[in-house]
Amino acid sequence: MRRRFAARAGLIVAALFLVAVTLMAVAPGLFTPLDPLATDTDQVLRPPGWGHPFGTDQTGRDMFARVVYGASYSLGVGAGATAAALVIGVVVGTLVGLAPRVVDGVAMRGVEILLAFPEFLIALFAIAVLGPGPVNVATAVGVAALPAYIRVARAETLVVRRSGYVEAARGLGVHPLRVAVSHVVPNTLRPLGVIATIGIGTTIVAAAGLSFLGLGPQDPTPEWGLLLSGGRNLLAQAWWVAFFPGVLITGTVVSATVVGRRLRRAGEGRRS
Amino acid sequence: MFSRHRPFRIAGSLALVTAAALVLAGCSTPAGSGEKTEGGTITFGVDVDPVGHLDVHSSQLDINAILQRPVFDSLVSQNADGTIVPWLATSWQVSDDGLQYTFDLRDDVTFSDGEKFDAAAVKANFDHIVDPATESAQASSLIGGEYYAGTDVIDDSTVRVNFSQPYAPFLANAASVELGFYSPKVLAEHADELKAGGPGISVGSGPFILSEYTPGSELVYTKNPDYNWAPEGAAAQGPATIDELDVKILPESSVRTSALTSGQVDVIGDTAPSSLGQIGDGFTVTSTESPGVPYSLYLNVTRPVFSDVEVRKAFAGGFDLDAAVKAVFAGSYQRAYSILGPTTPDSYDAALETSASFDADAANDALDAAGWSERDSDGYRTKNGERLSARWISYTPVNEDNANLANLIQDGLKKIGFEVVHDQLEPGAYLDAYLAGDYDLTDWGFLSADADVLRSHLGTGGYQNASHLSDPEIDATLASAVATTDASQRAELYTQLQQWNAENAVIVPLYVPEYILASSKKVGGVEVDIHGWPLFSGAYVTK
Repeated sequence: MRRRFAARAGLIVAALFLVAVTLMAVAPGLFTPLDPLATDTDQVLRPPGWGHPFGTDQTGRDMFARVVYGASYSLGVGAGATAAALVIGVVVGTLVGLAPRVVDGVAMRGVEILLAFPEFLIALFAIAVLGPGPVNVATAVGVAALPAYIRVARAETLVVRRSGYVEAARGLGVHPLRVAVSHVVPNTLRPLGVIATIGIGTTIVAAAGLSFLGLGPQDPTPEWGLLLSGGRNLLAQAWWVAFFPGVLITGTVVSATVVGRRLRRAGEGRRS
Repeated sequence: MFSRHRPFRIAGSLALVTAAALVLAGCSTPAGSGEKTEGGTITFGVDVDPVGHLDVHSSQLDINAILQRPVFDSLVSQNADGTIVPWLATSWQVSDDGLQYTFDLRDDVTFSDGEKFDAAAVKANFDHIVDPATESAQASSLIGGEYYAGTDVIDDSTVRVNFSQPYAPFLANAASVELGFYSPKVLAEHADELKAGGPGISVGSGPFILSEYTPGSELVYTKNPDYNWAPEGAAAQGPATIDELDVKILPESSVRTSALTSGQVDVIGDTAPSSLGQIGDGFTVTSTESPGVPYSLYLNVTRPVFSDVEVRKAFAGGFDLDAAVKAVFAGSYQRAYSILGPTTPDSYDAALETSASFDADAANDALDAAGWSERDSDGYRTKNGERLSARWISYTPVNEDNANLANLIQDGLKKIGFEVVHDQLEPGAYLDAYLAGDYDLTDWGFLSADADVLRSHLGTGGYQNASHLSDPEIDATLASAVATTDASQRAELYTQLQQWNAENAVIVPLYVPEYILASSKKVGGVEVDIHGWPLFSGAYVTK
């Protein structure tokens, strides 16, 4: 009973955190009146305190404002890349699942090869081909996440295509495309939605990782990975410069995972 | 030579740069707390591995000059006060017309592979430097570039270097590691492997022998037991005291600092100014201001925005440089007032230190007067509907401190309505933009122990002339300065150039970089040269 309560409390905290971070991304002005780009040579590397709850960085910029404004970049890349991977994954996965055996076999071997590599490695490879930049980071992370979505969408398609209602629709002479759109796709979306919720966390980490390496947006853009990188050599003197962006990245990823897992359990429970 | 703030050289021209002279009898770190011992190992942590650039004759990397100094000797050596002392050459004569330098060589010097050092070895090395196949920009510039007219062997121990016109920086340049000597056998048999370097390839006559090289990780040097030809007057004569020098590649500055404070390494180089507080009093810290052109902004005078001298001056005086440098470097580095660093021999004009100052009102007035009087919705100035905006290109990776400084400059200029767009470009993209002249300003610092470095930065067609300046009077002043051997006359000419730039704001000097060396008190006798780079021939471990 107690454990259940703790789990629920954790879920609520995680959900609230996600809501807060989303709000930061959408309306950063609600959280701070300060400009994340405004420097102040008299306020360099101030520790957290009144006026600067997260302290200031090497050029006197308010870390709280930078973290708040950074949410839109980091969440934007995470959500954008995940959404793109989801859409493309569903389309490709469904088509592959409905395609003749030969095509399916070839496509899936390709996907399996991609799955054999860690996602971050694929993202790095994509960046190496595309070149650095914020848009390319989103693309690279999306490409890296794609194989998993294709695989799940295809598996769901295989299950659904043999179900009674699909057989019935086909028996009634409904056009195959219409069958795919109105019967197959909706049924693959639910499990994919759950994966995507957890996947947002992974893509945010991957995007922040690429930015940390200097491959994403550039200073003075307040992106979380970049902020973390900017503080990495100051850990001994000014821990707050790296600490708060790190907390935000960790908090967002953990929250997304907690919420995603809860959704998955809910989905599994319903199905069995 | 390029400072660490921009470790590459614009490709192409073989135009002349100058001297990176080396001071052997520089300041020495105070002895450690314990007694000096014979033998032992010193570990030295550095930021970059010069992988693929280990050839002293073609590399442009400062780190390579630092890491090859233990292995390669030069004809002469330069003291801290600029005087030149004998090293592998015992004496020399300069002809009255300044066109011929004749060196008398030591006859007891051998390379570590047993080859003899003689006049033929000098000629083989200098021929190698100017051979187009070597693709040398740095060393071939130091040897005189187009002024260099060949080397003659007079006899076994006499060699003559010829020039087509007087070239005053040569003697100081001859002290640099770039004009150091390979074993002629290596030049004959391994010429195509010099850039890769390593044991058996990087073979000189120095106090240490490179005995192991693991790219990206470690270089191990063992002492040359036969060494007995140190520069005249050097504290350490004869073989090195330590048996072994281990260089560890530690790219992150915080990692180097922690490696020093935890005792994993004895000495670290390129120490971050911000980490000095963490290092504390238990260590010996030597900061040396870099000679040459300070870290500066180069305003492209051929572009509309900076063709107007009043706009350039408003730009230079429109942000609070004092406060910015103080904020970024926490008082460790000094702001620059001139286009030459204070430690550049026989040239620095200290009078400029009282002239430059931040004045937002004056900058605003000047921009109004220049016609940039309207403002757009973002608060930037406009003229005829066009925004007052400058494109700043930087070569990546941009050092963290420079990135912070750039932010402060951008933000400061925004307050007077001057937009600066800072594009940090990948090396390839940077080079494209640079060579096409598609930028309003760019940035770097350029290490050099001779003021002739200004010739490549301000002279017409100079390959570091990012400002695209072309002024016959400036060219004439630069040309007479390089041909003048009289120190006070040279200083007078370089003073004129520095004052001219202060009035014309073509180059905007920002700060004087320093090489910060930090070492544990367990070691002593580590000397530094004019750049602040460590010399280990007299270093020892204490009990």
